[in-house]
Parts: sequence; structure tokens; C-alpha cells
Amino acid sequence: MTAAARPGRPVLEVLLNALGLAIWAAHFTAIYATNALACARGLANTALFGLPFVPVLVTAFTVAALGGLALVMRSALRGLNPPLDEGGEAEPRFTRWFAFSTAALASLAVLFQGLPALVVPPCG
Amino acid sequence: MRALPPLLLLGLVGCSGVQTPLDPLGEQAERIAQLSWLLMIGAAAIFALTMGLLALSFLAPGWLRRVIGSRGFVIGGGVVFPVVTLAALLLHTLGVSRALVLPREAEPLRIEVIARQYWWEVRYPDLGEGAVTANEIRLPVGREVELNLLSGDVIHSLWIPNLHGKMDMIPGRVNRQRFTAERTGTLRGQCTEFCGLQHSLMAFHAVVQEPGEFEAWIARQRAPVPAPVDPVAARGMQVFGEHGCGACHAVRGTEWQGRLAPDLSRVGSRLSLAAGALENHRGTLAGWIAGAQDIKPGNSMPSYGGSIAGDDLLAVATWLEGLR
Amino acid sequence: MDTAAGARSRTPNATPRPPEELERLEAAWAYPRGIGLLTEYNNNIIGPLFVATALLFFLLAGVLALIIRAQLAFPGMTLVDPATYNQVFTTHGTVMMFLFAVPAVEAVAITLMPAMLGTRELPFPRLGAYAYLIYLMGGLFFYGSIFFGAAPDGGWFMYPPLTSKQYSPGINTDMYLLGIGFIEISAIAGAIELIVGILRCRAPGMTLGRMPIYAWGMLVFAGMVIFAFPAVIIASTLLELERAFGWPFFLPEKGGDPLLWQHLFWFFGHPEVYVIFLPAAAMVSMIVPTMAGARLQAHGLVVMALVGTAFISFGLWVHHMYATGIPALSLSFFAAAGFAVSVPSGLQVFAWIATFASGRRIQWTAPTLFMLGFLFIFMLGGLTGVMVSVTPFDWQAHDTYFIVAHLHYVLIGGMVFPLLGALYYWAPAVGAALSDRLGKLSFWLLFLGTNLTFFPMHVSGLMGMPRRIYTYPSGLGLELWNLLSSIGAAVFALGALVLLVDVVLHFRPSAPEGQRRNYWNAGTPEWLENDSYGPRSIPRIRDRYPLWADPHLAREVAEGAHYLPMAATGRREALVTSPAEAIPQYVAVLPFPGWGHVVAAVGTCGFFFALTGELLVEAALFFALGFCGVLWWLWHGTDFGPLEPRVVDIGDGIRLPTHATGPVTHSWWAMVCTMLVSGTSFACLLGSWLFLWLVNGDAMWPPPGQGIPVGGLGLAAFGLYAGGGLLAWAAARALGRGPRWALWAALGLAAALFAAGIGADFQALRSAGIEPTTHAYGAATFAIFTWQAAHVGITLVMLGYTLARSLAGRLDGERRVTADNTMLFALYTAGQGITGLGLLHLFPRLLA
Repeated sequence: MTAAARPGRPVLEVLLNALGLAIWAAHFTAIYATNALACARGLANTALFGLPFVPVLVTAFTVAALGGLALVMRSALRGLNPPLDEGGEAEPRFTRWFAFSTAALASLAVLFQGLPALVVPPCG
Repeated sequence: MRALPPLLLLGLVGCSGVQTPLDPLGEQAERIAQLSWLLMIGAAAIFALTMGLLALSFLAPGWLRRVIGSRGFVIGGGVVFPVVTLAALLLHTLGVSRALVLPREAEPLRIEVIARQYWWEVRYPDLGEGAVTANEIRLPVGREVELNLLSGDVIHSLWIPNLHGKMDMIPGRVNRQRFTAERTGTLRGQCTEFCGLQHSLMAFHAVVQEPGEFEAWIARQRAPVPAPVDPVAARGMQVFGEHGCGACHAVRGTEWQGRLAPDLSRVGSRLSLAAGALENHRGTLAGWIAGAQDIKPGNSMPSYGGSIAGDDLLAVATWLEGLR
Repeated sequence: MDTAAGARSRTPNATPRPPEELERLEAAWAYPRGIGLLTEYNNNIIGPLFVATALLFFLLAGVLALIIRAQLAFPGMTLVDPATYNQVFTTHGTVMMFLFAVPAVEAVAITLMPAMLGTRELPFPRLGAYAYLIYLMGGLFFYGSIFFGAAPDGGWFMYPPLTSKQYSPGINTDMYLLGIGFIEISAIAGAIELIVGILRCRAPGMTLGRMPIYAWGMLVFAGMVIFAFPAVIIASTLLELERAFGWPFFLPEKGGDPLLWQHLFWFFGHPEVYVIFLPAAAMVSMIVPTMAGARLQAHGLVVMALVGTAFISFGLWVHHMYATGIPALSLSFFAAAGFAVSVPSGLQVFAWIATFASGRRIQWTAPTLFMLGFLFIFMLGGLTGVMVSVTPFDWQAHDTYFIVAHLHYVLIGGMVFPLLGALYYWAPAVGAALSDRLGKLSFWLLFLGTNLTFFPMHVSGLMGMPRRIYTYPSGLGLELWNLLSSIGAAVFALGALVLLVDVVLHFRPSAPEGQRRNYWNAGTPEWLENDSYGPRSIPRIRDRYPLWADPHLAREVAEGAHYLPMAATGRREALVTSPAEAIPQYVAVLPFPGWGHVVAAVGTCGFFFALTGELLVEAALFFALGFCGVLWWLWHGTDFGPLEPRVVDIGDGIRLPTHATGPVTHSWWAMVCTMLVSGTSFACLLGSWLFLWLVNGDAMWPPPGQGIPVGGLGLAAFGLYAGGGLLAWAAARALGRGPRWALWAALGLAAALFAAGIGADFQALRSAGIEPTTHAYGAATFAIFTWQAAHVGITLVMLGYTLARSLAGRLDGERRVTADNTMLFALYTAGQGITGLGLLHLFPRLLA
């Protein structure tokens, strides 16, 4: 153990481990705002690429979020994240496991929330 | 385990109420009721299973406790099982949601309900001038209706559980709810969003009738009130006017067209008084006029017990009771 | 990571310790005598008082529940009149949520967290004491209002327009908005102290992976408080602005929308449930392993569950608004999120079952019973929770007694039972143990009472009984179920009484002779010897359950063989370590007890009480008192500068400074947390503005007669804010390098730029005819401006304070925490101002 204080980077790495959940939050905000705007402004029946506006956008957001989460999980699994190291006892297993499992939970939530757009009419 | 007997009991007592989602009178409530039973039975089963496992975690023989105590058990029971169950439930729920919001008839019967502290104004805008009542919603059987829900003051919520779920009535917004009643019957509904002092006494009746009966009722609502023949009733009508009741209440065919309080044109035919607070007959009518603030403190109707003499009070009640 | 320490290794410090070392340590941590005891902040005193106060409010709110159940025992009862009834149920809910549940979990943490982390004290102990004092005074004042008919009567959710001036002209609503609003300050203050404490004050070697699960729970709790509570504070502020000054945020006839309140309130209100539940779940994850005698199964998954639940709980707020007419698809997003959030909860249940199963010898004690009762009740509440997140079912269940049943199963099961279990479990860690026999008796009464009270409510709800009614008619089939509920409430009350008797009879603040220190043979550090100064030495942690892994640890720590066994500077100290791996960084010097925070608390409370009563002169006086209290507190109690010795050997040859500056300091971290609170609040204001824009439509935004703020003035404000922020930054950078007059000039100029900036900001609005009372556009715009103006005001005070420190010779290149904090806040204020300008000036122009 050394007494050297090396602030900044380790904090960022701790936060990066919650990236999966941050992606969930961004996805949730995006799909909710899309549908709120569509219904408040009467855009529900507008077409996008010849397809209904809301389901297409929501699905696009969902695919993008799932892609991002897959990257997070892959990097956590392969240990691409360098072991968290402040010069002391590193705990790569715990932090990687944390990053992976939160991203997995986020994927589940994103998938669940992307599903309704394919079934339920937007502004009913 | 404890959950089961009460649920069975619920099945026995719950299926005959006038204000319960478990005795559906129409398609929408029926779909929700089926979903509710699925949820209740599923929840009871999962509860029993979990409590069983909890008991086994103490009482089971060593090898079984080792299985329950493993990480694989946590992942299997705590991750895989709920994810699979919930995914199936989600798909089913979305299907029900979709069925409930897809419109059916192009032109449903529109009924406008305006909630006020603490009563309901009910109008039938498609059925002509004067199709107005209060604290009572009459519906033709088999016809899809669309409720247009408004508020005249604070937030209220309309709930006729045997027909559909709740829908809030929010100032500045119009909420809509569609349903079809498939059997005739007399139901009860109630305000379900806390709306002030007398939120508890803000109910109404929903009466599902055969189309012919319904049309006859509408026609009677729209017709002007005939002048009273009976001298007591005539005296009652006179007292009604003298005390300015018409400033707030409307009676069709008279000069009184107030909209601050329930339309009284056919008040005698209604199933309750003061939004479900009282039964409706001459005695309760007189009592209500005399002591509205004692019966339902804080509502907008003043107590007239001190200003209208006993005979006159009864006369007004007689006249109103005759308005059928 | 879970491997035991293995072979015995050399302890960080040699024993025996010199005898004068302990004397110096004791002297530094000695309690003040007499009236001075009021100034003491030690968590060993404040913590138990905090817990006791929270339990007092539990009992007080419980009495109100008994009134409710008595009134509803039979149809048509007239025990209390409608007006009183509405105050009773509103106060019951409000006190339970704001004065019992949140403070209780925070109180337990304040009590236990230092010992559990192996530290002497949390880093901002006087902030903790301040939080307790305003909670105590504010809470009693609030509860007292019910005896004068002045308690709020609009429900704990306070929906406008029922709570607007027109429909609730009385003081009752203000009592809620101001009274509860400022008690939130207490929760946020406690949260900041806990975040910094948990991340920066863990014993060396207690990495995030080895941190006790309860610390994870409280870290998640504190993070959620920081992001959720600003929403309700902003909502309360907006409603109070509408009531007092006529700014129409919620009045539809002036472009407002009642639903704005609901979005803001539930954005706080739903996470609030998890704010209460997650710390309790973390308590369960501490108690179950001890009682089972086994490590927590799937520890990593449980940590994930806590953090994951916290995030997803922010996507559930519309669960309370399914019947408001929100589009069907939007509702489905929230239903799906509700399903997703139940996965981590289920996971924890299975982890606890697995932990019981892997236990070798289970101890059958009162805490064990409370854990089993918790699992039973909470499972039912959780399952009905999944049911009510199913949109169509909720349309029927919403606002009926089914929901009353559900929420009480969740909160009593998910919070009260773990808390009472924790009371029995941790009492011997704090003082004398409670009676196991009375505990078991109390458990059975409470368990039966809970189920008898609340299970029938599922039925009465499905039989059509709405919530918040003071009476119900006979003939709907509700009689039996309500009577059962009322009988159950009496049984529950009996259980609570037994508990009270047990606490009064048996709890003492210090342990009796012969009480085993590690009472339940637990594995975590809070069971080490603990005195007013915390542990004798700071333990070196090498395992998640260090007391199980190393049987000699307790003795070594008590002998002073571990880190920092001394009061190096002769003052109270805490060891600050790195956030992820707990590597020692510096020795933080804590203040001695003082009157500053006490005066500040009195001033804060007096200010809000006077405001509630519309006593403006008194309010101003109390404000001044509180302001002086804060200044006094800061002037004498912070930023001591370097003390002798400059470097101290804490053991293992680790030489640490006793003074630190910059981003490594705990002070910097707290300032960042404060900025997050401000930022979240500001985001709520921006969100409100956008929501009202969406509701009003472009044609009414701005409405006729008002315009888009004047662009030129906005640009000027942008430049002035940026300049002020840069100058504050430059001043702090140059501190200790240039002449002092240059610093003073820079501070003065920065203040002038900020003042001019807010002036230009204001003029840009007024010149465009924007006015706060005629339309929601003006109200929302001025709300953003007012928030910014308040921040500019605080920045000016901080710049002035920094100047004063420099003039008094208390600021230089090393002694610079004051300047750094001022710089951070000034930069934040500049950034916030620029963001606000972006929304108010650019957004409407982009749309046009």
C-alpha cells in the first residue's frame, strides 16, 4: 500500500461500472419523451420511412441501447476494463461482475420497455 | 398459504356486488376481471412456493439445504424464474391493454360527466337539448358509450367498477373512457380521487337499461316539467322560487336555469339524493333542504331549516318528489 | 476476495501502546459538560437520539392510524368529523413517510455507519447534528399542528388544485409545504454526509467489494435522496409560490396544469418507497448472515440488485398516474419498468433464503423472527406490487383499499419489520441488549396485527371501497372486512406497546457489565470495541466479514495495534481513504463541538415556522440568526489549515499528511454532492418549463403580450456569468502565488460580474414583457430566474466570505479549502445560469 493520493481517474472508473444503468436511463427518457411529444402534438399517425412514427423510433432507440449494453457487457466479460487500481489491492472480479450484472439488468429493462411499442397503439 | 382461504371467500362474496370489479357487466370489466383472477391466483402460487422454500431452508435434510443454499439456486429462482414469468405476463398484459384501447364503434354514444365538489352533472350532448341529469348515469345496454370526463373545480375520478376502471377528471383537460354494458342492472359508482371535505359522500348510480326504456327516459328528461296540480305541490313550487333555489338549480320548463347545483327537473325519479348520501323520498328531501350542512357539512347547499317553515319545507319536498 | 487472512501477519502498530496515547485520544473526544452537551455531535449521542425520535414519530403517527381504524370499524360512525378525519389521515401518511420512515433509516445509519466502516466519525458530524436538530424541532412543530386544527388536510400527496389558495385558503396547506419542505433539508444534509462518509472514510483495505452490504444500501439510499428529494422540494416551492404570489403553475385557466404537480411529486414519491426499502433490505442482508452463521449468498448479485433497483425506481413514477389519461403506450413503458424492477427484489429474497439454507447453526432470536416476518409480509406486498403495475388491473385497484393493503404490506413488511429486527439486533452494539422474550412476544403481536389489519383490505378494496373516505355505506359487503381490519389495528397497537415497554425497561446507552461485545457472533466491524472516539485503532480490513476471518482482530484493534491509535494533532480526527479501495490518503481534522450549528438549526426552524404563520419580520430575524449561525460554524469549524505535526505515521510505515487540498479532500466531495442537489433541482425547473410548453402548445408559448427574452441582454448575461466564473477560478488558481490585493480585486470583480449578470438576465425578461402572475409561461420562466438569482446571491456571500478569510489572514496557498469551495460553487452558478439562458433564449427561437 502506498499513501499516494491519485484522484480523478479511479472515480471515473467506478462510475463507468454503472454505465449500463445510465444507458437504461437515457433509453427510458428517449422513449417517454418521444411518445409524449407525439401524442401532445398529434404526430401519432405520422409516417417515418413509410412506417408508423412512434414504434419505429422506439425500436430504433431500443436497438441502439441494447447494442451499447452488449458492448458494456462484452468489455466487462473480457476484462477489457483494466483492473481498478489505485496502487493497492485491485478487485477486478467484483467491479467487472458489478458492471456486467447491472448491464444485464439494464438490458432486461430496456427490452421490456421496448416491447410495448410493437403492441399497444401510441396514444389510445 | 394464508392467502388462499380469503381468496376463496372473496370468490363467494365478491360476485354479486353493485360496486365491484369482480362482477363485470361489460366486455372491458370482464377482460380486467379475468386478468385480475390470473394475477391473484399466480401471486398466491408464487407466494406459497416461496414460503415453502423458506421453510425448507430451515427444515430440509442436509443435501436439500445445500441445494437451496447454492448460488445456482439464487440465479435459478431469483433471476431465471422471475424473468421468464414476468416476460410472459408482460406479453399478456400488453394484449389486454391493446384490446382495451382499440376503438370499436365509429360513433359511440357520448355522455359528458362534469364532476364538482361533491356531485356529478351528467349530459347527453348527442341526444338534444335538455338531456341532462345529475348523480345518475343511465346507459343503453349493448351500445358503446364514450364518457367525456371534465371537472368544474378540483381533481375527481370516476369509477364504475362493474363496467371499467377509473378515469380522472382533471381541470383543464378532457379525459375519455369507452365501454359497452352488456347486461342490464343498477350499479353504483363513486369518486375515487380525494377531492375535499365530502369526498366520502360523492357517489352515483349507473343504470343500464334496455334501449327502449333508455329512450323513453331521455324523452322524459327533455320534456318540460308540467305545472303542479296538487295545491301543496303548487305551494312548494312557489316557496322554491321565493327562496331563490333557482339561482343554483335548474328545472326545465321554468325560469330557473341555474347550473351551480344539480338539475332538479326529474329529481323525484332518481335513486339517491345528495350524490348517494341519502335515499330519495319526501322525508329525506325535506330533511336535506332543512339540514344539508348537518348531513354533508361543507357542501355548497345551505341549510334552510331556519328560514323555511315546516309546512313549506314539506310542500317543496312534495313538489320535488313529484318531479318524475 | 472472500479468502480469510490466512497466516497471521504483523499488526500495523506495535503493542503495548504508550499510556499517554489513550489519554490524549480520550481528551480529544471527551463530551462537553453541562449545557455544552447540546453542542456535541458525536454519533454515539446523536445517533441513538435520532433513532428514538424517529420511533416516537412512529408511535405518534400510529395513534392517528388507530383513530382512522376506530372511525371505520363500522359503517356510518361519527367518532371524528370529516374535517378532522381528513387532517388525521393526511398527517398519518405525512408523518409516517417524512418524519418516521426516511429519518429512521438515516438515524440508524448515523448511529452505526462509523463503527461499521471502522472510522471514528463521519466526515461532517456537525452537519449530521444540524440535520437531527432541525428534524426534531420541525417535526414536533408539524405534529403539534393537528391539536390546533392546523394540520394539512389535502392528503400526503397534496394534489392541486384542491391545495390551491382557492380551495384550501387556510394555513393547513402551508404547514405541509413549508413544514415538510424544510425537513427535506435534513434528509439531504444527512445524505451528503453519508455519501462522503461511506466513500471516503472506510477503514484501510475495506474495498468496495469488502464493504458491508448495509453501507451499500445506505450509499444507494443517499444517492437516491440526492436525485429524488429535489423534485418534491421544487414542487412544494412552486405550489407555495402559486399560493402566496399567484404564480400559476397548476391553474389551467392561466396555462398551468395540475398534472405538473403529479409528475414532480411522484418523481420523488415512487423512488421514496425504495429510499425506505433499500436500506431496510440491506439491514436484512446484515442480520440474516449473522443469524444463519453464514456469509450472504450471492453478495455481488445483491449489490447489483440494490444499485439496479435504485436506478429503475426512477422510471416508475407514472404508476401513481395510470388513471390520469396519459397515453396508453406511455403507461405501458411504466408497466414494463415495474416488471423489470421486481426482478432484483425477487433476487434478494432468494439470496436470503439461500443464506438461511447455507447456515450451519441458526440462532432462534427475536431478530430472526423479525426477518422471517419481513419475508412473509414483504413477499405479499411485492406480489401485489407486480399486480398493480399491470395497467388494466390498476385502473380498478387504484385509490381503493387494495392499494392501502399493498402499500402497508410493502412499507410495514419492507421497512418496519427490518427496522424493528435491527433494533433488537444492534441494540447490544450501541448499549444494553433488549429482552429476547418481550421481543418475540412483540413480534407475534405485530405480525398477527399486520396481517389481520391489512389482509382484509385487499378484499374491501376489491369490493369497491375507495381510499380516504371517512365513512362508507352498509350493504356493499364492506362491514366484516373493515371490522377485521380495526381489530387487527388494536392487536398491532398492543405489539407496539410491548416493544415500547421493552425499550424503556431494558435499553440503556451503555452496555452492562458482562455483556458480550460481539453479542450475536457477527462478522462485521461494528461489533469491535467502540467508545466515544470510535475504535481504539482503525482496523486493517482483509475480508468482507473481518471478525469471522480473523479471530484476533478484535483484540488487536482494542489494544491499539492497528492504524492511527492516537490523536495525532491532539484534536478529533478521521482517517480519509480512497473511494474504491480504501487506501489511506490523509488524516482529516474534525472540529470540536460548537454552538454554530445549534444556532443555525434554531434560525432555520424559526424562519420556516414564522413564514408558515406569515410573520414576515420574525422570519427575517430568524433568517439573520440562522445565517450568522452558519457563518460562525464555518469560520471556527472549517479550514483549519496545516496543523502540527504535518505528517503522521499511522502504522505499517504509512506516513500521511494531516492536511490536504484539492479534489482529494472530503470537503471537495461534499461540494460536488451539493452541486448535484442544486443541479437536480434546476433540472426539475427546466423540466417543468418544458412540460408546460408541451401542454400549452407553441401558439401560447409565449402567450400574447409576452415575448421571448431579449437576445442581446441574454448574450450580455452569458458573458457576465462566464466572466464571473472564470475570475473565481483564476483567483483560486493564483492563490498564494500573487499579491493579496490581486486576489481581493479578482474576488470583488467576480462578485460585480455575477451581480451584473443576474441584472442583465432580469432585464432580458422584463423588457420582453414577461411577467410571472398572468400565465404559466411567465411563472415557469421566473421560477428558473429566481433559482439562478438565489445561487448568484449565495455566490456573492461566498466570495465575500472568502475575501473576509483572506483579510483575516485565514487564507493562503495551503489553507485554501474556502477558496476552492467558492470557486466550485461560482463555476456551478455560472454553468447553471448559462444553461438557463440556453433554454429561455435559444429553445423558443429554434422552434420559431
